[in-house]
Amino acid sequence: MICRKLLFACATALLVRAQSASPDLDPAAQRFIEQHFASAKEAEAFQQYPRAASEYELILKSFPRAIPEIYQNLGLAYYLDRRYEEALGAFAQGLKLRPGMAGAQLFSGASLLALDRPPKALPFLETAHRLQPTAESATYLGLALSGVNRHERAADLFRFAQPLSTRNDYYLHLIGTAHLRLSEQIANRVAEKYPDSLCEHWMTAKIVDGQGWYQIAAKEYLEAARRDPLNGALFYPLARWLAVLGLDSASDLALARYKRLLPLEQAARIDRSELPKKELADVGITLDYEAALKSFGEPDSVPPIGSMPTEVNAEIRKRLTGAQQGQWKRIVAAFTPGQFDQARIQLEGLRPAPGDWLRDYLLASFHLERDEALVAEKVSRRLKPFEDRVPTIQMLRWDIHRQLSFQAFQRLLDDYPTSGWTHFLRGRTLDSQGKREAGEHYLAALEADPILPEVRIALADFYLSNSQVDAAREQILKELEANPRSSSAKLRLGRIHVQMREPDLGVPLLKEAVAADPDDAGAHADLARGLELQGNTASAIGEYREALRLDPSLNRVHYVLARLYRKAGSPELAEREYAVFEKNEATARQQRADQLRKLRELDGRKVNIPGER
Amino acid sequence: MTRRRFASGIGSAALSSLSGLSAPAPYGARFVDVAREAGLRDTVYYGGADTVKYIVEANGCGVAFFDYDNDGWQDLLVLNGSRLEGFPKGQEPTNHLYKNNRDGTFTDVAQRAGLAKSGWAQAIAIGDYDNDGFDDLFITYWGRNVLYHNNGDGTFTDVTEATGVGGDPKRWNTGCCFVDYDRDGKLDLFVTAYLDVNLAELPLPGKSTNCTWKGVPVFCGPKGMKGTTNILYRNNGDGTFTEVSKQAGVILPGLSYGMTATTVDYNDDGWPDIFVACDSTPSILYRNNKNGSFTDVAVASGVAYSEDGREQAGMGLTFADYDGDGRVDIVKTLFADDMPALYRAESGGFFTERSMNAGLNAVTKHVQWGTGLVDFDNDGWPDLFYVTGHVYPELDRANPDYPYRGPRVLYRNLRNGKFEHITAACGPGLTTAHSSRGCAFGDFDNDGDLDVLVMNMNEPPSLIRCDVLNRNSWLKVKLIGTESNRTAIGARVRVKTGSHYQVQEVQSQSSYYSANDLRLHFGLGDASRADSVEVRWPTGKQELFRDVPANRVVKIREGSGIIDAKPLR
Repeated sequence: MICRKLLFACATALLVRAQSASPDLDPAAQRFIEQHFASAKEAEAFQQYPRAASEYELILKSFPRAIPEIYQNLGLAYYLDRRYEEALGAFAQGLKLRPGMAGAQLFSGASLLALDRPPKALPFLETAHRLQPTAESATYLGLALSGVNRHERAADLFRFAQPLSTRNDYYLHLIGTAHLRLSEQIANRVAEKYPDSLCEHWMTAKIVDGQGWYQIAAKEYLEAARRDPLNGALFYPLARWLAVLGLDSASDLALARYKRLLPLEQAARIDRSELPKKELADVGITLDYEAALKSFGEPDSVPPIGSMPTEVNAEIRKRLTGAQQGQWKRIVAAFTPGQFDQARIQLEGLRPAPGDWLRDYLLASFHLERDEALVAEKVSRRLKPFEDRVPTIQMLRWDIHRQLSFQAFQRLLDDYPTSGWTHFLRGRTLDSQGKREAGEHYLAALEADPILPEVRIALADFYLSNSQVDAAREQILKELEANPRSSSAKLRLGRIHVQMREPDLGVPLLKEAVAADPDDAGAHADLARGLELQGNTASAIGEYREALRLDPSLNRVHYVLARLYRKAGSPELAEREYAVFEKNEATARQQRADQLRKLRELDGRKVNIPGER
Repeated sequence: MTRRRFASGIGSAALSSLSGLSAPAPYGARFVDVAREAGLRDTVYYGGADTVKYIVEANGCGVAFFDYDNDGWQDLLVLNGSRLEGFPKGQEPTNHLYKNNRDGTFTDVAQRAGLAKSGWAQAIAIGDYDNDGFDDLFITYWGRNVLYHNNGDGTFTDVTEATGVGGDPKRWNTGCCFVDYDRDGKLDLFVTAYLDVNLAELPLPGKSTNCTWKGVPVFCGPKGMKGTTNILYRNNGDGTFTEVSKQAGVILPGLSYGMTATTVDYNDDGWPDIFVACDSTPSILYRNNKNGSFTDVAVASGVAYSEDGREQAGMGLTFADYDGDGRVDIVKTLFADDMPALYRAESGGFFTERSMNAGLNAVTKHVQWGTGLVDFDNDGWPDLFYVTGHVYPELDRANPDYPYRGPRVLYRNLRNGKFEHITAACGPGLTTAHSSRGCAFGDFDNDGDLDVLVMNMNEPPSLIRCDVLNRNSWLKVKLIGTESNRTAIGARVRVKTGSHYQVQEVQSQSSYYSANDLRLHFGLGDASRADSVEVRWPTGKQELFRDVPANRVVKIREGSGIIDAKPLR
């Protein structure tokens, strides 16, 4: 990522400036410094970073305080030699003397990122970017923020860096990933806070819709519609999926309701000739969609904006009888295809009252409808103070981030078809679908760019998920060759050794991984297993307990602890752990059963058993 | 004993005292599939051959070695399934009962015997429920189960209605076993079930979560589907049964997917316990509380989950003492990307998983089904055998790394707690690929070894004849209960040769949905006799027999000692 030439050009300029700023240096000293500095530069030109570091060390040994920038150069030499701890030490020394060295701040952060410590990297990178905003500072800071799940600002920083860099494919990947993570965060929040809600079902419907799971998509749209039968936006896709399933009567009902809620959409139709048909098992109709749709009844009145959720329309209705009703009537009247601009102008002309989220919600929706997802996102930021009490705001923001992610990835795929990042994206997408072609794309990514970060680890994980342990191990070893400090690689290799019953090889690696990321519960559990295999029961128990402390949802650890306690001659403790394990398992099973029961309540048909005489 | 044999005896004793530290000799058996020559040519129909739309088509059925006419020759029972689209009337496939003609061939007598039923047959349990001297048959179905009374004249009568064990006709019954759980001398009946499946609710392959595998659209389930309950029927002794599931504590809240069910006295307390292999859900180990009830102790015993607490698949089961420590160990077969789970029995009724330590990770890409810890080469140490076959025929086209058809896998016991994968060296009987499910072990040709009967999906069955290549001795023990149930289900036999012990139990079902030859087979190596044969009967009575000659079938009647000890031919 770093342009080395630029890096050291900066360093030289700094040195020259520094020398002139140090009048205490006598000519002999200056000659000494220049001589060793020149040797260092020569070494760097040939990428002989250890030699370069030695030259800088010689200068600093004789003149430890004269030129703080030399510490920066030394740190850079260490950094490029992947000696990240030493780099941090050198930077720290220099920053004591001159805290404003942007380069030292920047590469302190970069070193900590290389050691997989994004939280510790953040302060350095924030300072570096504040002191001297560059593409590098923005990118590193964005990566550190991504590492602590602050993807919104990360995306902004990546966008800042994008035009300053020639690696557009890389930034498209970063931007797409940041928005994808944001959409996932929102979806998880909604699922946790509003289970079985309109938003949860609607989000699920849109996700499975995109994956072609027709039957589930139809069910989810129906479930969403049950919770908001006046939301016209649900009924067109429902009509479509019912047509795919061959349920034409139900599809017609859904389409009719769509037109009823959106009177200007009378020309809407489903072209059945373009749809796959009969995606439902041909043993009969499952859910009675017709009955469900009929049960919604006729709406008492058409909502102000038929394509909006009821929660939004309820707010609109308040406005239509409130102080600004005239303006709102014009806005509602203009919120139709062909007049959106009018609506937008009207909305932008409104001065929002405190606590008013509706204006920005509609503006953001409008921009999203017009494929202006980036503008929509900017507007939607103003909605953040309200999102905790208005679930549909979260739904909208989820949709926006999904769109932004899709747009960035699509541009990457279209404009850079042979880029390593494109192959990586394809690999990740296929991998998430469990498709074996993912491996081919990961390999293509490495062929396009052998030092592409994350790819080897992703490829190793892919191999592990397909029980190709040797192939996984090979990739991990290559990653360690390229990056001896990689704690991700050490964690995986350690885990493999433990699984292969080679704890003496695995435990040292896992200890390093745990030291690099003490909050990784899984790493503690893996280390515990290795210690257990070594017969070190007490230490194993300690590590398992730590894993549970960090992640109480790791229920299986209770099971393993029970076994260890029994082995260690503590049957009461073993019984206690078993009890916790079984209680948690029973709760999880009951939750699954409840979900199944809900699905089954929708159908009570009996089935003949075929094939019996 | 000849001088030569005596010398071998000394060498052999020295070897066994070294606990297998010396390099093992070449494996002493080869295998060849003789089904066709033997007359087993009828296809077992089970669901779609190229695509499978629903899970009900995927799991296949069991087979059995079953001497139905008590002539001392093992006959063969091969269940059959069906297809969703059905068959023309009169052409529906039926179960097959192949009578042993004693010359290496068989004749299908199912029609004459009254066993030619069609349907989605699942599993077999064999036992003499009325203690009249002829072993009866219980067959589970996706649908109504059937209990056949053996009339003793070559025919069977469907006594399901009369006995009350048919069950719910909509239920997907699976594993089953006869078990005298209350030790009253009468065989009771345990039945588990897989899924509560309603075809009308199921999406097509790939059209939902749990409907893809490695990215390939496949049939849905079992994850995400509702499980069902277990049933225990108590034998009233008058030709009827009473359901006692609730009192016995075997009803589950419908969240396990039960497959093979078998009896085993896992804690060696003389009371039969029940083990149920469950797919994708924790397995069940019902400890007999000795008061008519059971407690599921699988979690505490260490056999419910994998070693690190994860749910696994669980199809087939086999029990034997693989490491010669006198305790019965367990092997459970699992799904692809996994190796069979080997649970080594520790003291106190606990088990530790030793699969990796035992070296069972040589082959992991196949789904594993019927299995046996079986001493094929008669060296006194049970080897591990299992059949394979994926559940998704679509995989052959989409992902050849996981073929639909696979070999029969054989691991040789190295006598030191480890196994060696030797499939390739054992002949085409093992290496030829099929998609198999149930398998049973028995000696159909009465030559003193163990052969294998295998159910192949949409193919005729395989009858894999084992040919022992060494001169190792053997002993078969046939038990006849008098106070205990006549079939002696639940009896435990311990054979001692020198310092080496072997332990087996008589079971009415094991492997996958199948039933083995009820004559317990023990390889004796080069010993000419078993130093002792110890029998613990299901009622708790124990008998000890010393110096039992090798190479014969020893019939032991409870309370009467050895009543017959003939060579096989």
